[in-house]
Amino acid sequence: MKNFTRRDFLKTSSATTLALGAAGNAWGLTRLEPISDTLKQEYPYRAWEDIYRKEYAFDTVGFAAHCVNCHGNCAFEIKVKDGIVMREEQIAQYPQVADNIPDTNPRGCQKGAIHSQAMYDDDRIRYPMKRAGKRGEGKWQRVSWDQAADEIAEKILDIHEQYGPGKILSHSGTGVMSSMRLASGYRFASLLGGVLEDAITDVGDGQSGQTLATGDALQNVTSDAWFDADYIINSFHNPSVTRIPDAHYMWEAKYNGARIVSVSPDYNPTAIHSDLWLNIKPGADPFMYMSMIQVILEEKLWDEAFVKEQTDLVLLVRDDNRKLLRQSDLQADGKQDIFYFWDTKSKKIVEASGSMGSEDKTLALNGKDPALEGSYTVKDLQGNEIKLQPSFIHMKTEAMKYPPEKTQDDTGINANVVREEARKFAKAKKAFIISGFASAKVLNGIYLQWAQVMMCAITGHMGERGGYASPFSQLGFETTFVLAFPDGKMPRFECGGLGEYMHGQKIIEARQHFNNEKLKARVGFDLDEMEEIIHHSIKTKQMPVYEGLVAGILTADNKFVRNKGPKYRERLLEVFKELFVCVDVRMTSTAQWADYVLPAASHYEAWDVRTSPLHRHANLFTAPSKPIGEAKPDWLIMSLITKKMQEKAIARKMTAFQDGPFLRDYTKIHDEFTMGGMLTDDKAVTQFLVDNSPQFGPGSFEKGIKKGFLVHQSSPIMPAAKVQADKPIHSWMQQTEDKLPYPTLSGRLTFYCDHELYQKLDSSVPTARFNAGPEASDYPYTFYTPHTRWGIHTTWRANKFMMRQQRGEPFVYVSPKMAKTKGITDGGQVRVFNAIGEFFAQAKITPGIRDNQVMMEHAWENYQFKGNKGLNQVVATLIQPLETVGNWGHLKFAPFRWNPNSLSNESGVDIEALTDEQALEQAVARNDKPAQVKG
Amino acid sequence: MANRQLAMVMDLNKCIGCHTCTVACKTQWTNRNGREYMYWNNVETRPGDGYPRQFEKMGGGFDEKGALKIGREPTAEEYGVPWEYNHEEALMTGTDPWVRPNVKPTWGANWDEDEGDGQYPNSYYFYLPRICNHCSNPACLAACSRNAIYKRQEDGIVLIDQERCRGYRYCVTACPYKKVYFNDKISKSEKCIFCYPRIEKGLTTACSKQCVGRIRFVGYRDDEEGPIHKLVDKFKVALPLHGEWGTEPNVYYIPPLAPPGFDDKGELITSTARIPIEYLESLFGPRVGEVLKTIEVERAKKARGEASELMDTLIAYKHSDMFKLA
Repeated sequence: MKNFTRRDFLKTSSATTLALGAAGNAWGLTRLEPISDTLKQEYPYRAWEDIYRKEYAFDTVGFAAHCVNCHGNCAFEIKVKDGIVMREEQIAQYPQVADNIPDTNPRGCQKGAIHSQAMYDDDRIRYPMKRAGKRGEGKWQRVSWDQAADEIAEKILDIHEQYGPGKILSHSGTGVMSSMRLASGYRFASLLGGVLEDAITDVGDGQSGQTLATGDALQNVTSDAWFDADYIINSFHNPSVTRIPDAHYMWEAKYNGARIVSVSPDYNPTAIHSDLWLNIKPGADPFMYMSMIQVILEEKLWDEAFVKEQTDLVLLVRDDNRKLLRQSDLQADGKQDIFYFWDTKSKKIVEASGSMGSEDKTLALNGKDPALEGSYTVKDLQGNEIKLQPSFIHMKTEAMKYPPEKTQDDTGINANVVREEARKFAKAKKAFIISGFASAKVLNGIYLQWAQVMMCAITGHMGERGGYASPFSQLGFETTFVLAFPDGKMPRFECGGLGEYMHGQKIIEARQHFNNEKLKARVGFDLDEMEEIIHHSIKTKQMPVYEGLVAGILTADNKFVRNKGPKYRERLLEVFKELFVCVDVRMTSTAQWADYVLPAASHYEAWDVRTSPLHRHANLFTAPSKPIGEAKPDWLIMSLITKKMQEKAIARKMTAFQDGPFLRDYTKIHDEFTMGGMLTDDKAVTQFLVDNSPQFGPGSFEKGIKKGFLVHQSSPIMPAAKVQADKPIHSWMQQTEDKLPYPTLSGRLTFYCDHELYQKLDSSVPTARFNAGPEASDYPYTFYTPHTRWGIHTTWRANKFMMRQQRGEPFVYVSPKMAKTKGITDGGQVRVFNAIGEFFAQAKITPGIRDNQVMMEHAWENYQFKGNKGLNQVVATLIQPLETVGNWGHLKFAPFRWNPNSLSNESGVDIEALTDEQALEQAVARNDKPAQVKG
Repeated sequence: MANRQLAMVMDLNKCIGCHTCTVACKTQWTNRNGREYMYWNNVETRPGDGYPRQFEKMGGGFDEKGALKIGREPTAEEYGVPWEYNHEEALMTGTDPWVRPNVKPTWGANWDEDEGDGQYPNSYYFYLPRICNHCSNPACLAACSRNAIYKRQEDGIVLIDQERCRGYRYCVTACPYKKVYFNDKISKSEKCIFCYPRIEKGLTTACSKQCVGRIRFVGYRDDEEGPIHKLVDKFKVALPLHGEWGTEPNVYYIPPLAPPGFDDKGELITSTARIPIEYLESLFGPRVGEVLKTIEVERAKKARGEASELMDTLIAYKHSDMFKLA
């Protein structure tokens, strides 16, 4: 009986109405009709239910995802009423790939679902603003777009004329991962000739160990590939927190019979559902995997056929200098990139096909049987005898140093437990080691990943049998790159982690914080050696870092939150002496210090398209609402700047100039940017991106905007995956199935690196190293900062709805024992400090961490802390020397793939309890921002 | 006409504590008009104080004889004061030195997130999402002296007549789950309405549709083809929360497994579970152990390559199959 109105009731009821009541009002008398049993009887007055029905109303619906750095890329329906976005809700319409694989619905998370509220918040930049006081003072003058673009363009040309090209850091950060937005910043940088950092390594996400082993860290699996695994290790991977749209595959895989193991120092939200939590000591991870490898080798649980065909463990290594045997050793004019193995069938040394120098691009052995043992000799081109052994022997010798009994004190994991899991992993039909990005933010990340890929490789877990998986790929990025690099023009790509290290002079804090002797003992090198290695790499142009920057134009990049040490901002503001522009949707801790702040349109306010590595869908953004205030889509912002530049360049009678490999001409920059006037706005750009995609084609845009998404059926830019319509996407299928070589020097999975630096650091084969951590300093506690669930980095981090589900302000986790020792109370204030800096936060006591750990979820805005001192005030950082090598086969500078990472988790700290008054007093006294203090 | 009852089952083995459900409900209903402090859907870390704080000690419900028990209304602090922030002043006008909440935070709806109980390395916690249980014997309905609370016969949704309510708040004190909230802007009590405007359009509730962990099943209890009947009556793995309070809740939970703890040598403890069974029984009743065993047995079948209807149901190959409203 729905919608039963009072009128209906009066018609059908036999109840009499009494003429009582002050107003003699028939409606009033009807309301007072007594109802006795509202549980068992039909309630007669249900017309009021329209109140909530009316609240569930909206005018129009559009589609969007969110362009942030999360790899979620989730399609939402955006519901708009009277031009205001009321709420969003996941579309949840992605088609099922196969009946026996769960669909990927309803992709989304609480952060995407709160954006409708956040987009109207007071931190949105609503119009262009020009600094009216000192940098960072917080005094802004509203200006028109015309004025802002005019002044910025003028300044850009002034800089060019005074300093020459390549002096502007024109960086597009990870806040824009959708294609229109990313292409805007990249295209601008490409036409300008500005410097653009590797946005992956400057946040410390670069999977260097994976690149070392496989040649390409951008080849990975979709999350539905996890579902039918038998065994999964989560290493620095906390999907319940940081892969929210994909996490269900982990727990469904568990129901499907998989064994789920979670390795983390804290009892984290992924550990709670796992079959086994391994509470590893921070910084000791590689030791555990080397122990597992030792067990696998000792108990002969490895896959010999796979090792022989797919890995470089068959390649012959010279006994004398431990270098791989090369053709250049044996022949005059021999190549440096042709290698050999011993064929037990023909009993001779045979060229290993598939290497970079080999003409035969296959890994297929065609009946040959490479030796993994034995000692062999060959005559070099002088006629001398060289003794050789397969690299397998060197790898094994190193691995055998790590039986579980020897590493259990370092790792904190019982030897029997390690042994048992190694066995289970090896015997699994399909096994994954899924690595989160935090694995790259520790000094020993490269060792960890290298050992992990090897553990997968020696047990044959690659391709459809699983393997090492980190969530990066280029699925669907074809046309984004076409737009980003107009006619092949590129910006000056610079190292991310290393670039920021150098521009920010982070070595200063490293010297203040690390004890050089302790560091050397702990990690195998000291700061002097590290500095020398870095300088050598830059000087010999192995790793590009550009000198002489004088300005910064940053899009969606929160540099001053992410970078380490208390002086980073100060130094970068000096670097940006001529000009500092921030393009962003909200006022960030970085934009606060700019000369100009330009408002970008947020997720629901612009047309765009986004692809993701973790699933096979391209989501369309249909701009369901107008940009707030005067905000503009990124494309229009950069287009306007280039328009002004072109006008002024013509007026200044500038000419085309040869800039390295590219011819640049600022008198045509706007025409080039808009592709001769064709790409006028975000909608045109989005249509271009979709209709020109090799797998979507003309007409796809119209199709896509009806449903909100399109489905990838192939992988033109990632052919190794051999994408199929009815199966999850796995990596390295061309290699495991079709025997194509890996993109490595030897063409094989690489576990032997004879670069002189690797040899010098005893790292020619996978081995175990610690990170630096407190043991390399004079401070007692580990400080690590895992990714929060309450923000995608700083996006939504300071949103009140997110904050209300936490502690209201930044907080650190400490153990009950540490709290007791230090007099810390739950909800009370603490000061975390070391030689380089301090910050103030609330304390949260948890039994989930060790007594010597201070843990803090990452990415609070600096301005959320008392005194504006963010958590990176106490973080000193290093560069991993192995990542500076740029002249060894596939180990060469490549944006997104290979250059040194920014490391987050290397510092030691101390902590003290403060009263509320003390914390406030000290924060005010040592406030890191020149703003008016109101007490 | 036939009485039907919509019900929900939540699988706590899949809840990842992401709060997408909380936000779904918040933007659908409670981001406005005096409801800001309310979380009609909330997610708690258990063991923990819950929301409102220590609500399990606030009384309400029925005794063994079926008489309504006295309860109390939570204070604003126990719900958590919804902090407001000074973004404008700190970020735009430069008049405040940094962003901060308008009052000192002392408690919030999710204050003890990820803490739990126990000692390192054997601490334990899991997530417990809660909505109004749309009980078959609602204490709120029994307590309302104006008979302003009723149960819809066609779907069992319990509602507070917003025109009839006079804000006495007996319902707030009577609900032992503290899932009725007082709106002091309009002086009426409000609560989860099981998204009936959506249900009437054939859509499931916002919290269940948007749950990205895919933990929620929604359907009619009497539908033998539906997921509720399967999980509650056929496989019997879905248990009520605090059934002893006598309100006959229609939201059920599948209790959670946990990894083994460690002894002092770091060897795995296999004789007792990490989460003490007594704790789970205190929430979900005496059948917890039996349910956990069932899950393990069925899961082992899958690991051996055998079929398991229960596992297939909980895996939920198609998201849309989790909600059966027709």
